[in-house]
Amino acid sequence: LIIASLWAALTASGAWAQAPTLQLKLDRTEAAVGERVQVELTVTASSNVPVTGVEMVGLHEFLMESGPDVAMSLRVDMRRGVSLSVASHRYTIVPRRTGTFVIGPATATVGGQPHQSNPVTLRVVTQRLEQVQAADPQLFMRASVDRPEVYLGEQVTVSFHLYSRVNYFGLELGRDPTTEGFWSEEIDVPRGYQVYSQAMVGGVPYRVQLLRRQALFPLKTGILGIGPMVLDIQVGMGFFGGGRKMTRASSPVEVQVKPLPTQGRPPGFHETNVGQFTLTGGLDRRQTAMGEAVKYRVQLEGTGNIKNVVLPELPQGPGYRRFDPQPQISMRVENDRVTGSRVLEYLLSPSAPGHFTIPSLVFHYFDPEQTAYRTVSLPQATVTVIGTPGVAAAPGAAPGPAPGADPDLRGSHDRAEIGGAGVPFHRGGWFWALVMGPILLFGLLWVGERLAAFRSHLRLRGEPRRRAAGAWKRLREAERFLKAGDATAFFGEISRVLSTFLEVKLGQPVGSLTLPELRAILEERGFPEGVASAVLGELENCDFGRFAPREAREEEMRKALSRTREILDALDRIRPAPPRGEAAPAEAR
Amino acid sequence: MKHGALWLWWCLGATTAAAATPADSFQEANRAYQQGRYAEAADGYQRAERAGGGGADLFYNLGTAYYRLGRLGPAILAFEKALAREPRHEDARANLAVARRQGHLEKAEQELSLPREGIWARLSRSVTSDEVAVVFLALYYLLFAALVVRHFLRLGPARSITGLAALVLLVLVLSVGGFFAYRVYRQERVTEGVVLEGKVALMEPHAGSWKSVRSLPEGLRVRILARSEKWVEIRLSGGLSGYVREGQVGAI
Repeated sequence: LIIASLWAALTASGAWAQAPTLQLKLDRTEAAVGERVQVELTVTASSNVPVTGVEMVGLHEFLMESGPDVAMSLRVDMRRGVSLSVASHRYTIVPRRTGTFVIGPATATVGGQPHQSNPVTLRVVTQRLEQVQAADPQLFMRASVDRPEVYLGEQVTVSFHLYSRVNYFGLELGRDPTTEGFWSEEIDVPRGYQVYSQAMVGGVPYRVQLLRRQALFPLKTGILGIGPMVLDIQVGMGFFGGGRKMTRASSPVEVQVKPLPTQGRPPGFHETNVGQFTLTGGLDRRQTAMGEAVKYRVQLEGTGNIKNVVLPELPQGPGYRRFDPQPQISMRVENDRVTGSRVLEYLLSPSAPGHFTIPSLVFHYFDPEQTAYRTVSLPQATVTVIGTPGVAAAPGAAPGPAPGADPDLRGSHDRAEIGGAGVPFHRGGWFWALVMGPILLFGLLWVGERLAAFRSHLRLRGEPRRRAAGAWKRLREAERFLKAGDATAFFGEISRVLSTFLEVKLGQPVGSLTLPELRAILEERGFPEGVASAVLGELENCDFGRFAPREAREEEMRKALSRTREILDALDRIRPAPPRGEAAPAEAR
Repeated sequence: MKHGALWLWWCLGATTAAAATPADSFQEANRAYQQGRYAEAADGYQRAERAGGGGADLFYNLGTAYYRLGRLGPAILAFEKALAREPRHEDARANLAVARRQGHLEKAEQELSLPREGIWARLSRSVTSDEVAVVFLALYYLLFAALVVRHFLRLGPARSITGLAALVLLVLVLSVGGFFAYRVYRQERVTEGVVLEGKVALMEPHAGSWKSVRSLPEGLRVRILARSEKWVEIRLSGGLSGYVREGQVGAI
């Protein structure tokens, strides 16, 4: 009873009163756009202490679906022996856009004193990892950006990861992710085992492979999308093969690109100049001679889109002539940020002895970390030009060799043939004429030879006909001898006519043959018996006819002439067989 | 009044035309060079080229002026142009070596793992096409002469020797003719170029934008594959190809 009385007294007096606490928590730290998120503020205080003015901060970025729903409860802390009042303020919010949002700290007045809660951070993505995982819990891809909201020109890094619970043996890029609206620079992915890591998604362990990283610099404002990366993956290949190919694509990612603030924007600022930069440089020497150029170096170093930053241009000034340089750019990636330098080296050629001044160069940029515009500059510089044209600068004036100075360099040529090359010999008509000349010459010779051979061939082929025609002509000659009464000449001519005709037909000479030999040949070559006998008889008659009496000879000659004509007609129609041992000519077969 | 204006216009035109002859521009540029006004000298040599000049010495002087200005890329391009017109131009060869040494090109080529120039390429660059054409013609006519002589010779040792000589000449004619055809093909179809700026980024298309794959040194010799309004497609001697911006490479 004593103890109970004491406990009641202590509780009523609040001697061990609980210090009030405000606890803010979310049901998840990452959510997708359109997904409900529960925010709960729990105010715990002694039950006899009034709690007023509960105020929530940071919910204006979200769609408020419900809340605050307040639930009160009483709890007794047995250890301390106090009764506590627990007020739970619940809000259901729906994210409207991607980004990282800080909610809280919430404030409340407890027992007349202001108190505040812890802040919480909610990362809003297009698609949550668990949602991606739900499509295929064994193997899925994910694209993520390091910051979903950036300023125009500020770097955002996109990473592509492959989450796997299965073995895969080959990765083949199906399609590159599209990055329209961005200037893209590839960031090297670590090699070897460093590319792998472990991660828990929805309580399930995964092996994660980093596939690619890209530094993207937005070139326009608004919501810019990074398209899916498509990969063909060979999975499940065992000892005996049998794997299969699967295609996976990363979900598209959106980045909110904010315009650069207009407040405080310096005149001459260029929108690609976003990052953190330093500007260094200057003259390679402050004294030179006429005709010798000095170098003016402008070097911008820092983090940002170094390839596209716009450096201030050195104006053409009085006293010097400026030759436009080509920018020298070097880039590297440090801590996933693109850094590097951009160097311009102007050559300034003095136009008169004396002095000339190079104006100060000013470079403005926007620092997205500090959300402020910054300015860096190079001071004004003066160059002294000494001597007359062509005289070198004073010794020691130049810290290094003058541009183009080299003892091995040979000088220019004063007198030279500088006319245009014209048409080279090998492309002109003469060259081709000379090439074609011998070919044409040989061609003509060859054609000539072929023509001559052809003519010879024709002549040989026509020889028998000519000789046969000649035999007929000789027959007319024999007729003339008949009229003249010259029997010797007549029969001699008849004999030659017959011999010639036989030679044409047989293709061989017959003059040295005896009559029996001739008969044998005629029989062998298939001459009809009647024709052969007639020929042989007439040849024999020619031998005797020359010696016949004069009155009888004229009649005999007329008959012999008539018979010879008949014999020739008969011979003309005969196609003799080939000699023994020779094939028959084509026309005879 | 109208006639007067026309006369004045004609006189001005005539004066301008007279001043724009290659020889005048060349001499003017030489004077500027001698006085150390290298930039003006380079301008003058370029004017001479635009006016129709094109000899090896013109490009040699242009390269020397560029070198004096510290512009190694254009200097190397000009020396290469001089050597393309006159392969045995000793001064151009010497100054090209100086410029390459100044630009540490050999080291840069090693870093890029570029192969050394082959013997055929070196031989091809050491003679002009006209010289090859003349050698080809000489061998060609000797071959025909041997064939003609052989045709009229009777069977015997002299005819055999002439036939052998004709065979050797035929092999030579085919070799030199092939080399000549290779040169003409390269002249017609292959455009060589030189990188005009330092640390030029060799880009390749990547997902709708561009990705830098190599940094090219000033003065590097490359092959130009195609040109568009903004980009030039090039190939390095190692086979790597990509794109650089127009103006970063000059054609030899």
